[in-house]
Amino acid sequence: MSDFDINQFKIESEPFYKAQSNEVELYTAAYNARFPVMVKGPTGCGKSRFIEYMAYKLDKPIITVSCNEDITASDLIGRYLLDSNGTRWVDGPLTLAARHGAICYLDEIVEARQDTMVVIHSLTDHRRELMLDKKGELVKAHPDFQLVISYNPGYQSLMKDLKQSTKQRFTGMDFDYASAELEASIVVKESGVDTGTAAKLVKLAETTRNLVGHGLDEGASTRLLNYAGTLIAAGVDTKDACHMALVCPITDDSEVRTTMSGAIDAIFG
Amino acid sequence: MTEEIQYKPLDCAFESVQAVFALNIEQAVEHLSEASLSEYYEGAEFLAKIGQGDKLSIAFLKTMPWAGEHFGDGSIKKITDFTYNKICRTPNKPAVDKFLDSFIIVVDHIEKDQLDEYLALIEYHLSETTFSIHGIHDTHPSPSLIAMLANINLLLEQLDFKGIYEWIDYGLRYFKHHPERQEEYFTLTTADSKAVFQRQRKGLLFSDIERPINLFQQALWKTNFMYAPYSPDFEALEHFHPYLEDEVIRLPDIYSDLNGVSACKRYMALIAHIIAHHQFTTKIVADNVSPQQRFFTEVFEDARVEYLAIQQYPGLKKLWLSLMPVVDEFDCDDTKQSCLRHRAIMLTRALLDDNHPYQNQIILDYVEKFKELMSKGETTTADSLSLALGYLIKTRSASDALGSIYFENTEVSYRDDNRSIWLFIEKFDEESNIFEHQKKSEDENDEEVEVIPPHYYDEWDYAYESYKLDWAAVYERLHTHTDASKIDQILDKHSSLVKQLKKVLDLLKPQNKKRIRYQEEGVELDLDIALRSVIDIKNGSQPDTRINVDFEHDSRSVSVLLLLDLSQSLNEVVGSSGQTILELSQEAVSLLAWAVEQLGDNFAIAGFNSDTRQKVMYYHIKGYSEHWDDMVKSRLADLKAEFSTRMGAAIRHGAHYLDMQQSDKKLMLILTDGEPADIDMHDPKALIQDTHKAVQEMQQKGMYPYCISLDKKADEYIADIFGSHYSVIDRIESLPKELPQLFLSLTT
Repeated sequence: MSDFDINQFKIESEPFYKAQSNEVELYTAAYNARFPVMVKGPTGCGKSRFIEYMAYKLDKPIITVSCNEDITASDLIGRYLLDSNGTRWVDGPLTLAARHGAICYLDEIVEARQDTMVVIHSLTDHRRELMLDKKGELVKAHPDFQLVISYNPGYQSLMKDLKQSTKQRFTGMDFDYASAELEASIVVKESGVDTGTAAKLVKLAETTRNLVGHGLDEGASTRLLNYAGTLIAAGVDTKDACHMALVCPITDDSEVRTTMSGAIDAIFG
Repeated sequence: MTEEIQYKPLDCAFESVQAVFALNIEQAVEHLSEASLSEYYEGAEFLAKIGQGDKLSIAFLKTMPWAGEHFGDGSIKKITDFTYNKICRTPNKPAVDKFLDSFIIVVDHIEKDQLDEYLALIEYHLSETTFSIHGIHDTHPSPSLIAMLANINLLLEQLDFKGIYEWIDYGLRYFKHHPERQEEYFTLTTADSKAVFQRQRKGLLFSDIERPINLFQQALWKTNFMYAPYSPDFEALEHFHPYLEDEVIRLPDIYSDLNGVSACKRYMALIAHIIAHHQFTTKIVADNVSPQQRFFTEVFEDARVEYLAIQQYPGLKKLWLSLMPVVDEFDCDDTKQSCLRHRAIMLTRALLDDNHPYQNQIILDYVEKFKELMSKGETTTADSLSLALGYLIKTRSASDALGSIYFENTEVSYRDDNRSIWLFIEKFDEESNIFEHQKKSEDENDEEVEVIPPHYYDEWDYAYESYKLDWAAVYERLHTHTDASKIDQILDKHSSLVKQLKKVLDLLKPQNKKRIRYQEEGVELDLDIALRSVIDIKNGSQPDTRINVDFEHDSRSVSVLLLLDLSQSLNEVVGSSGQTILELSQEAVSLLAWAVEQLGDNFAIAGFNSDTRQKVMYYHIKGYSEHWDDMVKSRLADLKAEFSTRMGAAIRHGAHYLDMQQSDKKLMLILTDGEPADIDMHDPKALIQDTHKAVQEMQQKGMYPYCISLDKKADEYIADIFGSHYSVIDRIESLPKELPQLFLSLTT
């Protein structure tokens, strides 16, 4: 276990990220104090990208766990596995991060069951330690360790929310889609389309965001805009690309699709 | 004009005909080819000589120059022959001149090669409506030809030939032997006639596209205006324009494709324009502005708001341009007619279209001025006014006041009537409100319940194997209520039955299974967890003993509508019990409702009765989302039985709501004591067949109808309606016991 190399989790090249406001400073301050951070925001608005970017900036390894309903505490902490000599302990991602000093990023944390998440409590307060009860070991967190979680309040249901006791261990940062100009510049950079087209794509995304609650659960994300932009830059017809990347994925409602094709026509002519 | 060109004289003795000939020959020579012209002469001379007086020739002379020009050589001869053979030689002579006059309108609406179709249509109508009372020969004129010809403009404008035939056929089917009603039908004044007409119109109904359009304004502008679609006015033939007022957009209820733009896109163009005004127009005072000044202000203002809207959504430009008519710059002769509208439409296009074809210097100057203004940013409606005033001074012409106005192709269909621009300080009556009369009538009845409009349902006519459109009006009302304790007393009275039911309910097991993990006891081993426990044991640590999975039955997914017949016959007393059928039904329904509440199924109760097709009442007693509480009980306690049983309409209405429920199984229980009947239906089979059709319709939609009949003689007809989905309860006294049991056996 001593030959474990935590540096494999380092981000090698700088991810493209454009700051919307002072979030870089805020995050840096939180990291310096080693506060746990929660980032909230709609799908595809750049939460994960931001965390990756910060890990790169701070030159720290980052271990990402995508949460789902079946994830258990031992999936995070680690467990004994059978091998030829009997059993062997394997650290889970959370233990790895705590032991070696990485940022542990739990993506879409509300997808996991509430009681599972209680295991992070001891790591997220003044104790900064993790009890591996099966193994009988108390892991003291590495000074570089930080816990980050993300979730999307957009599709919060009564069933899927964090416990207050979990929530109140974090500092929070709100994310939203970038402002139109910024988002357009992101699309230009990521997909390679010209500025005019990018601005129109952003306009189209805004129309979908206006429909939230009127037939759409969530508007088109910046990620989808990049897809559309990439398709257009590769020579796909603009309207086809918009349909493929921005309409088809987000709705099956034929009437909303009619509206969207009207909006595409209104924007792209 | 004074120079005398000598035309070939018309061989006709009527002076009146000669006079009309003199007035029209110039037109004829101008518009007709040589061959057509000789047909024109021959026809006019012929029609004057067949002993029908001068009327025919006069109408002929007036209209044929246009018909001949439109339909080409040979057409005038065809019309002459048709007039003589098909109309003059039948009892329909009085309609001849109306027929000939109709061509003035017809040429505007049908294509060159459709003359035969039009003649065939008239012939069809004539042959179907001209009749004889005794004997072989037709002796009576068609009662409706003149009426139909009077409406030919509307018919051809709104319907295609197929639609007109459908409309005629419907009228023939019901009123063929009833001359007065037939005439009424064909004047488009009766409700049936209008309903069929509306149905047959070509194009896309707004109601079919309302949601996408609504989402469109939400998506692009975050606005949420309501809509009030209007139909063409049958009586006045007034031309309406869309407009936005009081947060409501009034727009045509139907659009057909135009210039290759789909109807849906046309609605979008309209909404975009109206909202552009809403965003950018500021009202200005109209009282000191002349009508002409206002007219051009509107041209500039429309262009201004569209320019601004296009900044936001560039694609709108293409859409709007494709809907804008194009006129030729030199189409309008301003020595003869007023070119006001012609100038306006050219300007309209030039302001929006960078590639417009116009060379007129004033137009070019003003387009330049407009662009300069717009590029400066910040503009208001007042800027439009000042541009308009300048433009009007530059272009004003004496002919603007002429009565003859160049009108063709000068209207932009997607634009509103621009009432939003003007503020009238002095009240005057020019502004028309399409919905005024409706508003008034609503105000009058404010207190009455009748304000909720009825739902119209088609009714099946088995004799003609077709639907009678929008035939039955179903009014939905909340049932009146009284003391709820009555129902509790009923439940107490049947307490032993309640206990029995409870046992059955406990035994009911729904079908769906759901996995529950981490169980100590369960039907299957959960391998993942079992393996983990094995490792724990090997490790010497405490294993998790919850290594099984179990399955749980998921909730039932059934929606049930109980539809109660509340017709007069329920007031009959049953046997020696002294109870009426209604009271027994009440008991049965209470027990059933209680049972269903225990099961937690989605359950609604409604009652119905009818007093002719104009008034089918549908009483809401319990809604799907309501619980079996005092409110529901108090409604049920107040059940009253009156009027008749028009079951088909009630079933359709109930099915409409049942269909919207999100359940795997949808059941409609119909509790009735007799066959469907109503006082305006004399054929006993008619409503039975209609109900059967309604049952079929709901089955096609995946709902399951089931009838519980209390009519001992039901066997004679009930299978015709419900197939095998029925039970007849002979001992009505046992209904309270049987109804819940029947329900349970149906749903398990």
